Amino acid sequence: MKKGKILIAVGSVIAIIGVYFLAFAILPAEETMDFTIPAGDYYYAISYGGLIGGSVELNFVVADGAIKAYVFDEDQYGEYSTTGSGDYLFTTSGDSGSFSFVIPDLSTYYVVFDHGTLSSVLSQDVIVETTINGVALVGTVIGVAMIVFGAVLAIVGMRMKNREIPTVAPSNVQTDVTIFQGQQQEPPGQV
Amino acid sequence: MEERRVAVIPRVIVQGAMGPKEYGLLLTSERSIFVLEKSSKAGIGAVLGGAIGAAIADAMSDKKSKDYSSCDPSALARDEKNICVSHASVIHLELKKKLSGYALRLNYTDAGGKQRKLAGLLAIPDSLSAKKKSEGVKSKRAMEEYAKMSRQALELALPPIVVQNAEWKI
Repeated sequence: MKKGKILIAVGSVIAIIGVYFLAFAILPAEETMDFTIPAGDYYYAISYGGLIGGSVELNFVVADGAIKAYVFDEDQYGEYSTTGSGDYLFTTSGDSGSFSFVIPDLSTYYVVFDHGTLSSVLSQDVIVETTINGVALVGTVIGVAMIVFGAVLAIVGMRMKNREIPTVAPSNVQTDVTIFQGQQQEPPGQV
Repeated sequence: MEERRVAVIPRVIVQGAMGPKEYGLLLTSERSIFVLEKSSKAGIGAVLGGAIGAAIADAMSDKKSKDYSSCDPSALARDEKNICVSHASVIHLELKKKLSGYALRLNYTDAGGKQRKLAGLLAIPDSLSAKKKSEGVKSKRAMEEYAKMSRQALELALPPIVVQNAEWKI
């Protein structure tokens, strides 16, 4: 296979993968998580970050007892992880519930699921359904970069392909185009 | 360094002010010489109009024949009817398949330093066309082969930098 065709193929594949990256970065992402908060002084934290115009919707169901859910920014989470208390952006509690919050900037925000007041002696199974809206910055950059890179490769490949000598064997084809062989004193070879 | 004949593309049609002109293109190591083979007076015919005009235009066409393997390139270049493009002056080269056919375009600088362009269409000689037809080769295929061979001729004759930057879409 010629280099030009190879470049076109590789560029096209990279561009297509880039489109998928971009789609994943832009389209809402839904995910269901099933986790256990062990008995004792444990909690479960989920982080969200790097989103432009982001928001997160969560639905949770607890198998045994109630839990508390918090939304923290980075500083608040740092304090909570150290002291087990502190300020928060949002909180709710119960054996099931739903809430959503807006991610105003690219920094990281945390959703923490902790034992309810009387539930710390229990190992609690939690199912959380999340829908993440917004544009993932990293995914978008990677996707766009791959599309551009793939397109450039394909264009370069097309140019190379156009410059490649045609595969038709000239000696087998009569075209009346005369290529003179060697020095001009020699008789012309018509192909 | 002696000028060396490299190739001949037997038929290139260039649209002139007075109608299309048929050239044979002699490619040497130094220059491209468009040698006037047939000058249609279609422009005059168009002024006269109708079938009479067309008939007159056809009658006024003059056919020449050149033996490119033996004729002196310098003599051809001196002939004012011919168009001579020094390869050193070529700025850009294109050979593209278009709706109208395989279009050849040369951008170059003339002796006065003025940028000029020369655009023409590759055309299969009638005799070859008839031969191909008798062999069962479709005209499209024959034209494609002719264009590819013409491209090879151009690539052999023109400077590598021009060939490298040329636009080939055939």
